[in-house]
This record gives sequence, C-alpha cells and structure tokens, in this order.
Amino acid sequence: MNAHLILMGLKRSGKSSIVQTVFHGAEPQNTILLDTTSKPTTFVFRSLIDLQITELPGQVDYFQDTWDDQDINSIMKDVDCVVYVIDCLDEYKATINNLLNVVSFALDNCPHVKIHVLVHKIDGFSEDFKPDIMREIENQVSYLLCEIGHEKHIDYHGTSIYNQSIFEVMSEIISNLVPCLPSLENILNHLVQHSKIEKAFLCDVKTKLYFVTDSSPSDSTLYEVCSQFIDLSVDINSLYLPTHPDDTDSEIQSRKKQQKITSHCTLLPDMKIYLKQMIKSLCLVVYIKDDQLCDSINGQAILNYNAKIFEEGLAKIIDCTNKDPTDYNL
Amino acid sequence: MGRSGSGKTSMRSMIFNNYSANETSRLGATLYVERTEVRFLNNLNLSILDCAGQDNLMKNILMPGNNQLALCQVLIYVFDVSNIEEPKDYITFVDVIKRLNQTSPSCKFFILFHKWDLVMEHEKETAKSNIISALIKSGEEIKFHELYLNGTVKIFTTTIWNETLYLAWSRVVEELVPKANIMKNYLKKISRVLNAKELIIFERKSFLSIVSYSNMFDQDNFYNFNSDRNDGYSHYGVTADRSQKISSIIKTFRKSASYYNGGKFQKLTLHSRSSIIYLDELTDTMAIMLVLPNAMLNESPINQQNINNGNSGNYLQNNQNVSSSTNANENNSMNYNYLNSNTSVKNSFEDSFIGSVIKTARDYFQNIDFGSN
Repeated sequence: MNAHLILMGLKRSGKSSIVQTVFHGAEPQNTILLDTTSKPTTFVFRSLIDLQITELPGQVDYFQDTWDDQDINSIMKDVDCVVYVIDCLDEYKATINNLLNVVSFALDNCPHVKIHVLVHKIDGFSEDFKPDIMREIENQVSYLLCEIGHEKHIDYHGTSIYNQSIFEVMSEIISNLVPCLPSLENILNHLVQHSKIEKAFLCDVKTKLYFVTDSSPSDSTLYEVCSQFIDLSVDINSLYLPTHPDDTDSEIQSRKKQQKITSHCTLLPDMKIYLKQMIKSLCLVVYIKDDQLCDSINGQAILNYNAKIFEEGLAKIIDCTNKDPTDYNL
Repeated sequence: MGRSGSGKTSMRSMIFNNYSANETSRLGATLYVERTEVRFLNNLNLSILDCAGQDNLMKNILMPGNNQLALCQVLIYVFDVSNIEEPKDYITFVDVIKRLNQTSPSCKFFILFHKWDLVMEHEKETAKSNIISALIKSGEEIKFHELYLNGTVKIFTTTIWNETLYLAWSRVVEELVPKANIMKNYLKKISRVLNAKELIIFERKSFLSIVSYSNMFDQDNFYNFNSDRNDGYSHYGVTADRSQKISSIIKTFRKSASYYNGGKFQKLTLHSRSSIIYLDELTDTMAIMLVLPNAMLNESPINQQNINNGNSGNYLQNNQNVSSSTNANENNSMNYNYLNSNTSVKNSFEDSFIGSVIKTARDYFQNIDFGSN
C-alpha cells in the first residue's frame, strides 16, 4: 500500500515545522530554529501504508514560465493528496493566489487528487476568532475558484504545532489515503461493540498518528491522553530492555519493535486505557469507561482475546490489500 | 536557599505542585520565607522553607535572632551557574553554612548547580570543577573541602528541563526518610518471592523515588556491579537514573490524564516480550513499581505447586509477621499448563497474582510508623 502526499505553501508558513513535529518527534518549541527548505525534499513514512511525503520549498513560484514546467509535472504526476499550508497570522492574500494556482493546476492535470488546506498557526487567535478566520479563508477561496470556473471540494482544518490539533488533522488526512479503510473501520467497530469499549484508535507507535478510529464521536483530549499513554508504555518498557555490550543501534531499534507491549492503566474514578502493540509498528489503544469489565480476571482476558482476534483480522486485511489492489473492500 | 532568580521556587513547584517546566516562568519572586507543609509518608510531614534570595532579605534570615533555620535537617543551596557573581555568591554561601552549623548541627548540605542546560556541552567538566575549587577556596573557614570529601555536602548538576531535577531531589528525600532499611528489606523479600528484576517505591504526590531494590546487575553490562556489594542495594548507578526517568514520564502522563474528565492515574500494568511491569498504589502516600522478567512463572522460586495451592500470601507471611492474608488467592488454582498455552489468560492470571502480593505488601507498609524514630 503506497500513497504520495505533497506539502505546499508559501515560505515560512510552517511546512518543515509540521514535518519535524509530526514525523520526527521534534519538540515544537525547537522548530523555530529550522533552516528554510531550499529544494524539494522527500521521505517515506513506513507504517500501515508506505507514505511518501514531499515537501516543496515555498519561495519558488512553480507556475511561472521561468520555472521548469516539466519538473512540477513530474512531481505532481502520481500524487494522491496535496496539503497546502496557510500562515493565518500573515497577510494571506498572496497565499490565496498561490493556492488558486495550485488548485487549478491540480484540477487540470490530476483531477482525482485530494486537497486539504491547513489554516496554520491558528493558536495565535483567541478561541472566538478561530471560526471567523477559517470561514473567511474558506469563502474567499471558494468564491475565487468559482470565478475562474472551477469546482473542487477542499477540506479546511485549523492547526497548530503547539497542541494536539496538527496530529489529529494529519491523522485524518492520512487515514483517508488508506485503501482498505472501510474494512478496517468495520472490524474496529465490531471490536468496540463486543468489548464494551468507548473509543478505539489504531495508531502508529512512533508518531502517534491514528489511521483508523471507530465511528463514535472523537474527542481531542481523549486522543491526547491515548497518545501520551503510548509514549508512557514504550518509554517505561525501553528502560528495562535487556542490553548486550556489542549491540548496535539498529539491533536495539529492531528489538524495540519486537517488544509486543500489552499494557493498561486505570484512571480513577472509572476509566481505563488499554494498549496492545500489533504488526507493522501499529498499536491499538482503547478507552473503557465501564471498569467492571476490566477489573475481573475474566474481563481482562476477554479484552486480550478480542484484541488478538482483531490483530489477526488486521493482518489478513493488509495481506489481501497488498495482493490485489483492485479489491479493497474484500 | 540561593540567590534570587536562581530557580528555587520553580523547582519546588515542579516537584510538589505538579507544575510543568514551561509553566514555571509565570512564578514571581518569593519574599521572605515561604513555608509549605507536605504530608509525605504515612505520618511523616515535610516542611519546606523556600527562602527569598535578595541580599537584604537573606541577611534578615541569617540574623542571629532569627529562628527560622533552627532544627533543619537538609539545606538545599542553589547556584545559578549561568550567572555567578564572584566572590559575593560564595561569601553568602559560607555565611549560610556558618549560621546553620550553629542552629542545626546535624544538617546535611545539598548544593545544586542549577540551570546546567545553559552551560555548553564541552565546558561542563571545567565549569563544575571551577565552581567546586572556588567553593573550597572561599570555604576554608568552614572546612568545606573536608565536608565535601566525607559526604556531608553533596553536589548535583540540575536543570528543570530534564530528569536531573528528580535525581537530586530523590537523593534529598532519601536522606530524610527514616526506616529506609526496613522498607528495603521488605522489597528484598518480595523480590525473592517474585524473582523480580527491580522494585521501586515512590512517594505518590511528587513521584520521587524513596527506596529501590534491584537485581539487574547480572544482565546489565552497564550496571557498575562490584563484587563486595552483592547485597543488591542500589547505589548511585543506573537504578537511580531509571527511577528519575520514570518519575518524569509518570508525572507528564498524570498531568495530561487529569485534563480528561479529571482522571487520576492509579495503576499501570505492562506486559512485553522482555519484562512485566506493575505500578500500583501502595498506601495513601506511596506507590510501588515491580519489574519482573517475562518468564516469571517458570523461573520463580514459587513453583507450580505453590501457585496451584494459591499461597503467595502465605509465602510472604512465613518470612514476615504480616497480620492479614489475602482472599484473592481463592481463584488462583488454575491449571498451570493451560496458563502457559494461553497468553491472554496467563497475563490476566499473573495480574491477579501480583495484585495479591501487592495487597499483602500494602498492609505491611501502611503500618510503618515514620513519625517516631
């Protein structure tokens, strides 16, 4: 399963900061020190899907004659998703023109592409103004798009690297690129129904992005607690990994991957978070409200058992999707 | 104590009031002496005097008639290494020690070289030895060198931005906790019963480690194990380092969990391929962490028979006069082979088994009287 995602936006809009915070685990405060990206950079995020992420520098206008036309065509050739970052603290008129160029180019050359606009650095506004800013940008873009005769559904998200929002939005964007998403959602819903779970996430262990969640309404503080719990479990376990004197870094890394952590913690008065590490550096994190199920020895075993069945199902779905890419929904 | 702006109140707020490192920038200057009482272990109370650092206020505190510093057991003196005024800072420090020698002769001294993250990586060694030699020079009068060598004065480099803060404070707390040996012996006993790799007891509110017992030297090459200390007492090595990391990890998680419906972190159970980790509350003021190798049931001295008879509690009882036994063992008489074949059931069985051990330990620790000596 592969997908290709492009990050665009004017310079200093925060593209590199997003990449560093979300995919490389950098502290948000430290990303102000990053250099300007000067040429397109690509890396592959390997997890449930192998996602190729290309970051285009913002100071180049790709749609001017001076820029080699061939290049942007080859970059955009097999793109599945474009993420456009707008710095909403800045004057965004120039940005919107640039965005319109990107959208019309995308519509002419690869109409199937998904376009997401991140209204970034939104933490600079107070809670009351946030919806206004979002609406203003959204209206302007759709009005101008209409004027040049294009129609395209664009998703808008308010984000900031200083809170959980960038992780949630990136999770949402990436999970839309997972080919077998409906079937995964389906089995996750089954798990939730049969184990008295309130909310479940299928996350990547390293980045804490979630690929699949069940259909119940999501709550960003709950997601934050869950992602912190992944950190806690992995960190505490790694303190007690057996070590040998002649271990290389890669050996330690691979041992960490094979750990297969199963953990759960109790939060008073009646909450419980359960985590199970699965194949492909994924982990299932679930939140349970009803403590009665978990306190008994049987309840715990039922949850473990169901999670194991889920893991088997997950492996089968991934297997099938890899074999026959046309048959996504089994 | 320490000069104004050196970070005393920031430090205290992080350890005892659950502040995060970022939030400490909001704190204002302390005026005169702020006294906080913390209920620490069972019936042991800790009073913390956070003294102002401005010159004239400091003079006031050190005046002969002032009894604030009487009967203090530990002095934590903070130097802001990014900004040391020579020789004024050292002179003040010597004055403080002199005064304390009069009012509370048995006092132990901890010196923190704070804001250590602001010192460049390659300058750290020289910076540390420079300050120490300056202290020795200006401290001739109070025989600083002697105090440093015989361990009355302990020096730590700290910063609020990583777990070095918890390391230093754990040392301070270990100094203050009476009956640490009793607790350590009991941990040793549990460790024998469960074949545990490591046991740590934390204070629940600050999550500082109080006592730890470790069995890990056989497999950790980095653990500086020397043969004449095979009693398993953890020294200032890796165990200490690990427990500070745990303190800081747990405190971060506990904080974010409290934002969601006010969830209060209570216990953690973790099974992985290499280890089994339990973290549970022990008493109102203590939490215990147990780390077992993941083949516990096979290698443990409590063999199959013991488990099937469900007498984990009795095993502890025979060694120790623990008054109450556990009822949780009733449903423990499961078939051992069946357990091994089914991981999920095995995990939950182990959980309840450990649960019963912790319950026995809880009764024991609840009755420790820290108030009297």
